[in-house]
Amino acid sequence: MKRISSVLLLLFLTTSVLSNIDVKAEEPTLISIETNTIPQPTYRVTIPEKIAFGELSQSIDVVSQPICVSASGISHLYANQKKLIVQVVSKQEFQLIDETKKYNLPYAIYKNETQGLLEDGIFLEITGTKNMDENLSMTVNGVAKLETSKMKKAGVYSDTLIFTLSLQEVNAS
Amino acid sequence: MKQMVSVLLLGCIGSSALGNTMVNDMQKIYNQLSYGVPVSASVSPSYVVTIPTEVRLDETMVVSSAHVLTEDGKAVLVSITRTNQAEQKFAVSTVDKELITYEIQRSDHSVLMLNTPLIFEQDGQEELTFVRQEKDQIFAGDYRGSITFTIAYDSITKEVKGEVDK
Repeated sequence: MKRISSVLLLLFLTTSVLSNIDVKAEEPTLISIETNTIPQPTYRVTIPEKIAFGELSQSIDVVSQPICVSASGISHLYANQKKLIVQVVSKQEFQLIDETKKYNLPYAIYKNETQGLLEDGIFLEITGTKNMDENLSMTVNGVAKLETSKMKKAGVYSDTLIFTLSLQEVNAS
Repeated sequence: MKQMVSVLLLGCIGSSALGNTMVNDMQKIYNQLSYGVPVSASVSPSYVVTIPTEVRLDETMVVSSAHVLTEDGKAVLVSITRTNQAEQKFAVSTVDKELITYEIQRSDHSVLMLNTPLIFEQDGQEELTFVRQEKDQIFAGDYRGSITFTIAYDSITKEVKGEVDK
């Protein structure tokens, strides 16, 4: 009887100790999860690999090339009070320049068939809402246009467009 | 949870390997903050040269160039390279070999020589007057001759310019 009592006492003490360990171990874990629940914004932006007007001909007045910029998988912008912006600037102020650097050929970027690019160069802008802040997407089907009447010299012309992706504060102007 | 955060950060910071797996021929996916996209165009040399089919002595013909797009340092060169007369004279003749010689004067009254090009770097025109040289009495008859124009697209060398200055 005395032996049985000792075993029971040992089991009781062991259980109590284990219970205490479980409680102490879980509490910090729960607190840690609560403080990390605001996820970072995510997004994926697709830009053209190149914009090639190709061989220009005087028989066509205006040559156009599509500029499709799409953003997808956009999440947690609203939660972070951010907006996703894609800006476009030109290295040569939207002038194609020939290899001799003597002659230029202006072109323009439009967000659609009629709306030109503003001075801020914003091509795409998106933000989330309280109710819609997961897996958003947006596509801007822009166009680059070049008037062939501006051609003065034969040659190979080039420029570089810089697409800049940024997350800005929603309240920022 | 930790694995999930890692995936999300990957989306923000970017991975070219991830992007390249999702590209098609025309577009690439970049998660970089800035990326340069080349813009290009090419303009081939082109021109239209108009030469009248015939001209009378003491009258003017117009050689014109239009839609001219040349590369830097190059031009459309229009030259008279041959006549149908002996010794490449500028002359018209009858079937009896009677000759009337002439010279070709440009707009500035300089004389255009054989193989001397008119240079067109852009749209323009040149008036050529075929001035009869014989002022004395000549035999009546039907005088005819021909000249051959050659059009070339070539560099404007010093030699070409020098020939024009002569």
